[in-house]
Amino acid sequence: MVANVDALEQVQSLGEQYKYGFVTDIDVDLAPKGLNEDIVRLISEKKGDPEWMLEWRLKAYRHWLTMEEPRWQKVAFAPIDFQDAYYYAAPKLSDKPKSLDEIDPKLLETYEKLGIPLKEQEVLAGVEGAPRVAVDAVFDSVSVATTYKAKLEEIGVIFCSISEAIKDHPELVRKYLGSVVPYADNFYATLNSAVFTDGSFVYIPKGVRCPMELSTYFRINQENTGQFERTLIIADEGAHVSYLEGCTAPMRDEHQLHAAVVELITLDDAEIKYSTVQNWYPGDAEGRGGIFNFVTKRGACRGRNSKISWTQVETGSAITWKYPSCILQGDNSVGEFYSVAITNNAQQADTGTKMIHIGKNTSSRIISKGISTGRADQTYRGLVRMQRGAHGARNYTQCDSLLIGDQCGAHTVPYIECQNPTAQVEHEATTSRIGDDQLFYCRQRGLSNEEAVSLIVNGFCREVLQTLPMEFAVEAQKLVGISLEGSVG
Amino acid sequence: MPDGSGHMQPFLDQALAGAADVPGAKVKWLSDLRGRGAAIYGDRGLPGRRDEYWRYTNLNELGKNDYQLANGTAAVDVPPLPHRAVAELASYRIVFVNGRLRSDLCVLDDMPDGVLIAGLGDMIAAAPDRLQPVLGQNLDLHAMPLAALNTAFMRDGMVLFVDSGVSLDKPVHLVSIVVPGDTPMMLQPRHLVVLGDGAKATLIESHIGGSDVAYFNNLVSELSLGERAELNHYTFQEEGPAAVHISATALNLAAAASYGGFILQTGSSISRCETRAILSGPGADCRLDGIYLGTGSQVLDNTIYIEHVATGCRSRQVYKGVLDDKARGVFQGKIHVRPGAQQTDGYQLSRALLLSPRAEIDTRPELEIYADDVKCSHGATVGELDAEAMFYLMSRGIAADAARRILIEAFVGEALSEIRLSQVAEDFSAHVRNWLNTNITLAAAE
Repeated sequence: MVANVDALEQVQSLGEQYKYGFVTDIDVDLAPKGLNEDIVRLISEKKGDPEWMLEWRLKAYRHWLTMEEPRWQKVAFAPIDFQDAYYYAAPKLSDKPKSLDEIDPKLLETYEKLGIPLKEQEVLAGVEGAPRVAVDAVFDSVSVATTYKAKLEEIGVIFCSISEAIKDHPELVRKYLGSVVPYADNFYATLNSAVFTDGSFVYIPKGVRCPMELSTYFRINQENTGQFERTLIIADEGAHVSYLEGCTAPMRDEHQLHAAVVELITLDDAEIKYSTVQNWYPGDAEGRGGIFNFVTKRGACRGRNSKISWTQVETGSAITWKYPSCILQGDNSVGEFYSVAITNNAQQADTGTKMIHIGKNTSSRIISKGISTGRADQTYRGLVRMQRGAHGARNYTQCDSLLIGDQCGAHTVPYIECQNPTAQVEHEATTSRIGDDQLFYCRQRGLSNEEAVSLIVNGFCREVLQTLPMEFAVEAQKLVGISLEGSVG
Repeated sequence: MPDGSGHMQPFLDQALAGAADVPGAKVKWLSDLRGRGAAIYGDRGLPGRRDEYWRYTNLNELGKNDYQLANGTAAVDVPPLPHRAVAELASYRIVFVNGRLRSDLCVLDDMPDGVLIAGLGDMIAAAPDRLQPVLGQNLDLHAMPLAALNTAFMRDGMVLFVDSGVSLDKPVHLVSIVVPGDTPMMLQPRHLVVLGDGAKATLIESHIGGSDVAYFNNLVSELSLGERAELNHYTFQEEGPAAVHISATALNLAAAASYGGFILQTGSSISRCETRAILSGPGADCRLDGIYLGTGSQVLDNTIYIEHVATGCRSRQVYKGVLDDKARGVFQGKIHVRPGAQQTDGYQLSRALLLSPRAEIDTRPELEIYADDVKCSHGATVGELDAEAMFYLMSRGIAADAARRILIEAFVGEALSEIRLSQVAEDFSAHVRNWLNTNITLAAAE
């Protein structure tokens, strides 16, 4: 018991460890505060949208006005005043920079501080010989740089900001945008559809295996802004891509809203691996400030034998509320969801996944590891649905929760709906704490209490962390340490 | 009659219309309690798909028939009890026909001291003061709108009081028989079981209805167990094929009390058996198991909510479902561990077999945990019969339908083996076998 009290204290001494909490002082182009049709038009104009895009935004906005905020989630927050925020904030750039050299050095410095080099010859910090990673850097509302673009173009891979894609590849965007998450999908996705400012667009042509990791790094900098990005990734027949997403924000006393939409589409034999390391500012120990991370992520396995794999490491945000999902339409398609969510202090998370099995012999696997400590509250909420035609479909779900301290909560709410007798669904969930015997075992072998907790927690998450691309796995392991154990690495 | 917010509140007018001249209408606390039930039901209305805990069980069907409260006075012929072993078992028998106590059919002789078995209607008339401290005390009416509707009526039912330290020598057998007339009728029975400290009892419930005429049985049972008290509770739900059976059981366990419940559901067109247990004293032990066998277009719902309030309590549920044809099964189980309920041990298992391409199962095992020193887990599986096991049996000359019956019987057998009272176990098994012989035939296997 004593050992556990120690662990609890260590964990609680944390919270002031957020090292990405700085603010970049940079000139900003801000749209007026508030939200109305003019703001939607203004954003559209700033982005240089074609007519169809503006129409789509307006359609979404008008629909949004008729919607009510959802209330079923198990997270509590004061009502959001949607009129008290900026919907567009862009660092002032003289012109769209032609090359990386023309970008404001302050921005480059910011990304350097975050450990995201925007220079092409470099690799992610700390890992020698790591493969190259192409980065799309999104700063507040706009994409400021995309690396390795030319190199990728040579093999036909399109990797750019979504605003560029709307201009340069309208046929692809029109075909796929909103096809997985329709504009009327849910309250926050509809809001996003109206006011999204930037995000990444990826198209991998037939038969191409993307030679490097693609990644987007989201940074909220400006006060009082909401970030609404939109990501669209299409893997054409036989294509393969691994995509990473990272995010941070400064420490502020007020909450900021981040309502993104991510759509993935895989055609026959294609595969998308989507990894997220979410490290938005979580707020202070009292629950002041922090990001509201209300994101809609969904992938459609349209083709036969296609695969979508979500991996998420959720350590930041005051509130995380998202369910990366897979719609398994194509026969033999595969959906995966691996998640580690850590909530500390006053953080709240309601996250999980949906696996909708439509095609024959589709299979899905869900591994969710939740760690709750401090006064945090965490919920796994997931749906596995086997539709009538899902012959021979399989699902395996495992949700484990680890509680550290007696003030926190951990909840599991799985929905399992099965309409096909040949489908097989298995679900397991456990809740436990770090056992005194486990701690005793480690300490007996000379590990400090901190090291022991770190070792046990990392072991608990191992199954998920292993699925991350190598350079992110290193990062994520460190992050798990930081979010939980303070000085313990 | 939808109100402003679109809620339907059928049957409320019937409760209000009779409120002035029902037994006990002059007893203030009782009429207040009825009024509270009516108010809450009036406010919530009939649960719909928007109610999270009713999303899988649609009660719209209830609005289609004009169910009238059974008046219970008509003399009707009572069919023989289908459970042979239990029927022959020496027991205290209390029989309700169409929701009303039939003293002429009851067997309540030689009750030991400290035991009271009576009709709720008689108790309200004779000794309402004995009911006041217990009736309606353990029931969260806001969470169970149909229990609120039942509370608005509260005319008859069973009262079982066992004083501290008394062990009942024979099981109590509660028989509810519905013999509908020509028009749809409604029953609102209310049962109350209070076991004093250290008391022990066994309760067997049979819900039987034979006709094709629709009826609506909306029953509520309140069970309260004192410290170290023990109750074994077995329920047969064999309502008629057109019945809607909604049962709400509120259970409160004091320190070291032990409850073992088992429900076998095969009857009715729509059935929901909901149990809400509060483990309020340290060391309480709560076990709830069940089997549901569905065919046709039945909807069989099992909803469980276990609230661990005190430390060191244990709860366990094992549910097995078999669904054929277009039947739909629902299992919703929630274990809620309150802050401070340390050393909780909670376990939940739901397994379902789908036998037909049109059958469906919706499962939601849920954990809500606010204490760290707990051991809670749940498991859920859905699937069909194992093809290899079928092959094994058939390669040894067993016909397909027989092989299916053998495998299904083995599948549900695990849950049956937990039953302590052999006569009950025997009847449950016989009932399962009978269901299999009727439904799992060669024709059905095609």
